[in-house]
Amino acid sequence: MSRPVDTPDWRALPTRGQEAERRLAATWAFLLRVGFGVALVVLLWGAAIEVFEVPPFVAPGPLATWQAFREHSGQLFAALGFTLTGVGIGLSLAIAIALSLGVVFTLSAPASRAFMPLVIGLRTVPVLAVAPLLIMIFGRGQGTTIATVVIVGFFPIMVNAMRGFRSVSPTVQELFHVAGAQWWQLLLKARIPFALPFIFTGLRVATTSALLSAMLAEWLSGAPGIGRLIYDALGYRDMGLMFAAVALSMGTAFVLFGIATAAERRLSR
Amino acid sequence: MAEARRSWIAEAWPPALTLAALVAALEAAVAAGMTPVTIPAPSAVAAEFADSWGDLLYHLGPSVAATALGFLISASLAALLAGIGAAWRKASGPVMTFGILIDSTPLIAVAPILIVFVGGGMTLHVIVAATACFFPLLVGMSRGFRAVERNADELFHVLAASRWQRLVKLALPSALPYLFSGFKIAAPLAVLGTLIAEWMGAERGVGIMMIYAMFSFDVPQVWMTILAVCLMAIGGYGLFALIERAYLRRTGMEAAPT
Repeated sequence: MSRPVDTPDWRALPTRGQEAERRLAATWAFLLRVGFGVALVVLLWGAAIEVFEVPPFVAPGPLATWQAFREHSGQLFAALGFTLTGVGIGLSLAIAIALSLGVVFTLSAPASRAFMPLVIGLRTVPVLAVAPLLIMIFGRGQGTTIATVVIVGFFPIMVNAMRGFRSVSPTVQELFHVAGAQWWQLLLKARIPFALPFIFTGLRVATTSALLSAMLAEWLSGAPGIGRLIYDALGYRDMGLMFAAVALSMGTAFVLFGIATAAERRLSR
Repeated sequence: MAEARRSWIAEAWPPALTLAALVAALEAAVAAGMTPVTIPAPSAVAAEFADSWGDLLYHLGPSVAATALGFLISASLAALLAGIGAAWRKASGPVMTFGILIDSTPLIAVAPILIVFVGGGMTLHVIVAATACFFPLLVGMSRGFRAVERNADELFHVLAASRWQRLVKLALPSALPYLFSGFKIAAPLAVLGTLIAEWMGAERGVGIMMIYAMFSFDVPQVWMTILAVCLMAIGGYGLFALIERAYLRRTGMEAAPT
């Protein structure tokens, strides 16, 4: 006797068009909320400047900042581009190194037993602290930025990728074994696909801290990125430029965070 | 017990051996003159520890104080916000959004604005440390406050427990494992926050010691200060890990999933 199979009524399921519409509506609602939040912050900021009568050489209002932004936009975007180039190269290198080491550690039990506890232990350490050392080693240019991003991004990606490689269930592994699969077939067809959502989680964590670490490295090393620009502006007491640079870097950070989160959510469904 | 200890040793010797081998290899490479000047021999760093122990302690004091104070402030604020979120469901969404906003704001970008308003002293270090460790504390506390099991909650209701009994005997014990896991993640972040703030300027502090050593190209001293900061972070993590172990062993509970 066969058991009745519980199938959902296909007529009640949403069509692709409805689903797309729903997603579009959610995106609009999200953008509206963000716009509302930004407007609220700008309003509070302007009001605080007005009410407490803060002179413009201490902190400029939103309007003065906008003017400074338009006046210096070439300089600002050049600096931002420099920083983002470092972040991009650094993250790509971090992914390459983390994934290759992750594969080695997954395939070789002795290597994993010898190194993994050290890697896990290093995760509790604030790796950004080595930035002064990187400046001494890599000098005062883009190299330091890239090295800092690699060091900061490497650990979350690697640890999450390892977790992903190990998440292949024993049943699947046995199936591959019974079917006579080679180790590289197991790796390519099971371990890596299973690990993808984990890798993207690691990538999200790495991306959010990458901009911060790149700006920090630039500020210490003097490379001409947005981190340096903020502190130069502070040094010259050019408060309009400084606030514009701060606003631009915060906006970039939120956009990066949004992209990374959306990518993770979309790809790990 | 002896069994547990033996398996612990079996787990620990491969990484310990690797570490020792790496240190020995580095020592040999430096002795053979194969490394750039920026990488000192481990023995030189150890000697630096012995030489400038007093200086290091002098600079570590304010750093530890700023870290601890920032952590305390952040934990109180996180407890307040998580409490509001737990008591009033509608607020939990905005509270989390606020946490994410704080978390994704690049500290280095906000610090100059803070410098303009509060100056570059201890206040700045404490604020930056508090900001750096806020998000994991908020997440740990929000999860902890919601961890009360439904059945236990109903049992307390049936037995007519007072609000105080509920808090002390039900909510707090079920929240603690989550709080510990939040504390363990947050402690090293608070150390990092203090360090970043001290890089921007301080009279005393391990961060400013590191910067001076960097500018005077005193390579062993840079390495020593970095190691000191790492030890501080591990110390913070270890402190909460030990408290957690002791508490869990006493109550026979499981650690919270991280």
